[in-house]
Amino acid sequence: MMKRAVLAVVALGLLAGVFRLVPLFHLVSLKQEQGRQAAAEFNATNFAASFWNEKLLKSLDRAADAGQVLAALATDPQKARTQFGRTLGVSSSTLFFLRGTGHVVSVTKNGVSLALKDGDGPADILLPTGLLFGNAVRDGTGLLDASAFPNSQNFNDLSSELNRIVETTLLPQLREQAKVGAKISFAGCAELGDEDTDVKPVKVIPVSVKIESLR
Amino acid sequence: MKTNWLKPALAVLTAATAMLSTQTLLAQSAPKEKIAVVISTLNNPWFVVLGETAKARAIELGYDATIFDSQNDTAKEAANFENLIAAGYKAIIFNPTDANGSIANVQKAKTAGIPVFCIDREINSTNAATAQMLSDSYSGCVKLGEYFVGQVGETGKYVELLGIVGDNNTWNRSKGFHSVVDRYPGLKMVAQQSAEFDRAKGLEVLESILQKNPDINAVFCGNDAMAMGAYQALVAAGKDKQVKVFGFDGADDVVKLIAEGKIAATGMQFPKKMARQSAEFADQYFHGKRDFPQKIPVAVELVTQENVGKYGDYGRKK
Repeated sequence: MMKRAVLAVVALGLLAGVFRLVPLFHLVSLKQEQGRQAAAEFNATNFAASFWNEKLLKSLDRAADAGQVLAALATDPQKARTQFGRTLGVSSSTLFFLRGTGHVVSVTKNGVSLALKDGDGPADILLPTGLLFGNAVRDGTGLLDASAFPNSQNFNDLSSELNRIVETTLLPQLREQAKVGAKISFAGCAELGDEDTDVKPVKVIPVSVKIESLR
Repeated sequence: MKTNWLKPALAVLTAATAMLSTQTLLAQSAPKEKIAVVISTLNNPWFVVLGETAKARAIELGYDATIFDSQNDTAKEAANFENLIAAGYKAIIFNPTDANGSIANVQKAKTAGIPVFCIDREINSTNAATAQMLSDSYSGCVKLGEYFVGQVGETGKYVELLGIVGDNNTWNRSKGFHSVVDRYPGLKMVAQQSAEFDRAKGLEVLESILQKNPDINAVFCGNDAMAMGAYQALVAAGKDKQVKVFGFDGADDVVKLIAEGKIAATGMQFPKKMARQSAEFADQYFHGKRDFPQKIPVAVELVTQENVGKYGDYGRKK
């Protein structure tokens, strides 16, 4: 009887040892799994900061003239989209990288409206000053390629980080200084859907803003 | 004199005709190249549409095509790859079960000289598949998140039903949605749980969550199958009028419920477009094309009660 009990204890001990070495299952939290999924070495904040300073800000001269693009969109939208825009993968939307100078015709909670020509308007461009969402900044310049990112989660994290840079470095100044009549130079990214016919004012998420004069 | 050149000419003509006939016969009798369509699960109508459309397009293009069901199981998927490589399939249209776990299967096919075209879901590699045509789930859920805030408001309680935790789409959708909704501190997520992209599990999980959280305002589901399950749970609990359901996929049954005002919105993923394009990629590969972009995002469109009339049959109405 005693011998059987000892054998049972030894067997249980052995089994416990085996299961410790080769567990039957692992408990993994959703957060842990999410972390595993995102490549450990990728740091979206650092990548975005480096991209912003080293590439994006050095490529502003690649942006198309906003006045020229708006005129082309009014004349032949399809041709303008092909000539000045780009499409990411398979999409009905077109992305633009634009720059220009205009004067402020109105300021609302949605943003700062600019007219590119002299006069009171109508507004050609809307520089949003609230929360920013989406991929216009990431994809609008054509400087980043989805194929370079093995895990699309990393590519997507960049969007949030780039939007955060705009929100924290550009928008406060814009909210504070952009009064009606102020002259502003800007560069930024816009996205137009295929059903957007009356495009003005085009919502341009700024990547560069310079207040040329306050009034 | 005439017969001197006529005889050889006739002989050449006869030989040429015989050669042409033989070639035609050979071409007619040559077996068609075989394309495998490996789908993560056929226990979801959306994936059935994805697989069947890829198969149909491959057949239209002149190939033999067969669908393999991985039943959301990487082991089953690995067995499918072993079998189809041994069976002499020449190209694979592939909807992976796991972004990391499926890489080895694609690599095995690549080593065997078989091109793999991923559809809808990605693998976390840029040098194994020939091309990957992927739903842009993140951007789709950013749009869905913005619409969610517009519909639910800036305060309220909601539940999130996640898909399979090993699939990148699960997290791309969740992150896209949260990139918007988390900016509104008044919107509180009271529960976040996986229902594995499955309708029955969606029903079961939400039933359980409702017991602890009877006062929610909305449910965000990582796919339409879970949205259908969640909606059923809400109907059973008598809460379908007060809780807004948001799905993702563009499945026909959800699009119909949006039209009836029962589900708030979904993201249309265009499975037919992706499936047809992937079969065309395989055809182009057989004709010598090699320079495919590695990752091709396919835009997702927001389907709401305001624009639902434009959508149906897993895409935009023609």
